[in-house]
Amino acid sequence: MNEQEIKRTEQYETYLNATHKLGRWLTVLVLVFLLAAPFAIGLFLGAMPNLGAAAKAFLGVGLVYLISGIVEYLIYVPMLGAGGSYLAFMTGNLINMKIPCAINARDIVGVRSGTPENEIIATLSIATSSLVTILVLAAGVILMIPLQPVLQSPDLQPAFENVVPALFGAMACKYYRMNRTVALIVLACMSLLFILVPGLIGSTSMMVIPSGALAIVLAYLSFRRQQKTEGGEVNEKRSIAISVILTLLTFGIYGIIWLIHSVNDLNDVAPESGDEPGGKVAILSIVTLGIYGIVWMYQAGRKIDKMRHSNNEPASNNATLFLVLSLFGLGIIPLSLIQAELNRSKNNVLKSGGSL
Amino acid sequence: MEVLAKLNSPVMYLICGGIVVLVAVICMIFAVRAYRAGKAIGIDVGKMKRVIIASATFAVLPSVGILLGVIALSGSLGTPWPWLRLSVIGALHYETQVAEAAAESVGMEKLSATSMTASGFSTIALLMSFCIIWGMVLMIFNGKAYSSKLTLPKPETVEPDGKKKKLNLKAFGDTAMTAMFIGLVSAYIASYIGQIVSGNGLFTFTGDWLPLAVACVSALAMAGFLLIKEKAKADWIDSFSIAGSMLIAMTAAIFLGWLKQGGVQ
Repeated sequence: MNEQEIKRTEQYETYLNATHKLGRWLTVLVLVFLLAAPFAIGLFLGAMPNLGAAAKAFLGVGLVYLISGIVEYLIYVPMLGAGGSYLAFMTGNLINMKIPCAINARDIVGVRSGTPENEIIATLSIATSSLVTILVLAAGVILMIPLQPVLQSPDLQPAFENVVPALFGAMACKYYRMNRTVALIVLACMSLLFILVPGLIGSTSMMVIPSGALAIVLAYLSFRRQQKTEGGEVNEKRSIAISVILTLLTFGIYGIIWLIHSVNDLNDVAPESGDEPGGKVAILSIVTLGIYGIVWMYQAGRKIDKMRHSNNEPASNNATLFLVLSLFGLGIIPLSLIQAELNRSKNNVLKSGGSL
Repeated sequence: MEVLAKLNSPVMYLICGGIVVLVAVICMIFAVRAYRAGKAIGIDVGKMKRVIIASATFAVLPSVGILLGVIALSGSLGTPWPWLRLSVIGALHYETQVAEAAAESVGMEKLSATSMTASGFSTIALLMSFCIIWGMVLMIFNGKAYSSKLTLPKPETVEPDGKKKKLNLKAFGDTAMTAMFIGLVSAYIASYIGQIVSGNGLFTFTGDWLPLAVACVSALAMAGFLLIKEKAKADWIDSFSIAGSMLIAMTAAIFLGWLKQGGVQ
């Protein structure tokens, strides 16, 4: 690197460090104001927010946006760089404006993701688009002020009372097209639930959780099947981290599918007479309120101990460990350990030149 | 409706407008710093000006679409609050859905001006503010560490047999988000179906049909927008399709409401 390049690198590093410092403090400031605003409004209206009701609603709809917020953060920050990310999360409208705008700007000038140029271009793009939105909305709102009496007219109230169905109809059309099978199954299951248990209609925001969980599980199964069909390079090892996360996200629903796969895989790797297929183990576990599952965990631990012994590996007492953990409701841990053993055995098969 | 009058008062404009101005100032600070840093590290000034112009023109149409969203929400939440939420941090589908969930939790049958109370509104406002802070929180605590990587997590691993396996994390991230929204939408559409079939008693088919009818009109309108976009290759329609579909369906709700009052069951 020549002297000029070294100087530019140093200037960029200084800019970046200052951006993070400024970004953090300004984000904290905006956060404080945004969270204080409802209380300021409560003071003005003479009625403060009902924290209990807010907490209850958060358990439903809030969790969905917690997950989507984390996913957006993980995916978009590398695209937007530091400055762009601070601004984008502050100003919102990510998918419908900021991201496409930043990508468009990047493509116009031909910069690559992950470069100092991208950092500068993304920041300029997001700052500009945010300012335009603020100006357009401000102008629109000023023009709307004389229309307030019209907007409050009783004749228009049916329109405003149905803003939510209007939104979801449009979103259904947009998102159902992307995965019709998953959409149909989830819609059918949830419709049946609400028809048979109409009392749940008043808690629709909470029912978003099982609905979303079911959709994610179905989508993941479809995604894996698609990868196997396309890849040929995807082997049968299962990621423990993804399995644990999906199990937690779906409140245990995916754990049942994981159990079925683990039972079948363990039966293949270490067959014994009397082995039951995964589906039967899962059904029996549910029917016996988990007791059969605990027994299976003990037997699985015993199988793994035998496998290790026959491979001249150090002695272990997985059977007792799995039994105790399952008895305490920590079945996800033995399931993870079983998966680790299965992945290890698949590695050994591949190393020895075998196939799965 | 008395609450709605207060929600459109000058005090509300002051509270909400103040935060909008703060964010506008922050955007200008970041823009000026980025521009100066770009010049210092040798980025062509012409390129930066092109980016600014392209981004400004790109943002106009979507911003008008967002303004339609402000109009859609103003009937139940007043104008200042949706103005703040859609100028800063929010997005139409999020704001609407969270407001509805909050309205439900405070005992309102639905999000509407006629049943809005002062406590109900301040609770709705708090939930709308709180549920979407996660991007900002993560940037505060992890932004520097994560953005310094500058690339997505390594997409490939090398297996013991020497074959490369693509994990394609981003692809599953996109699939998972689509699935989540499918789940979200399905919960509400299914509740409208359940309302018709069993709202007044199991399998009586005498429940309120208006929400499902409005949802269907909106879906049809959206289908129309998507068809026009595909046939005319008019990508700009994306900026208006959701807000436009909503406004068409909300207009239809007025006429469908008259039908319902006329006794159609």
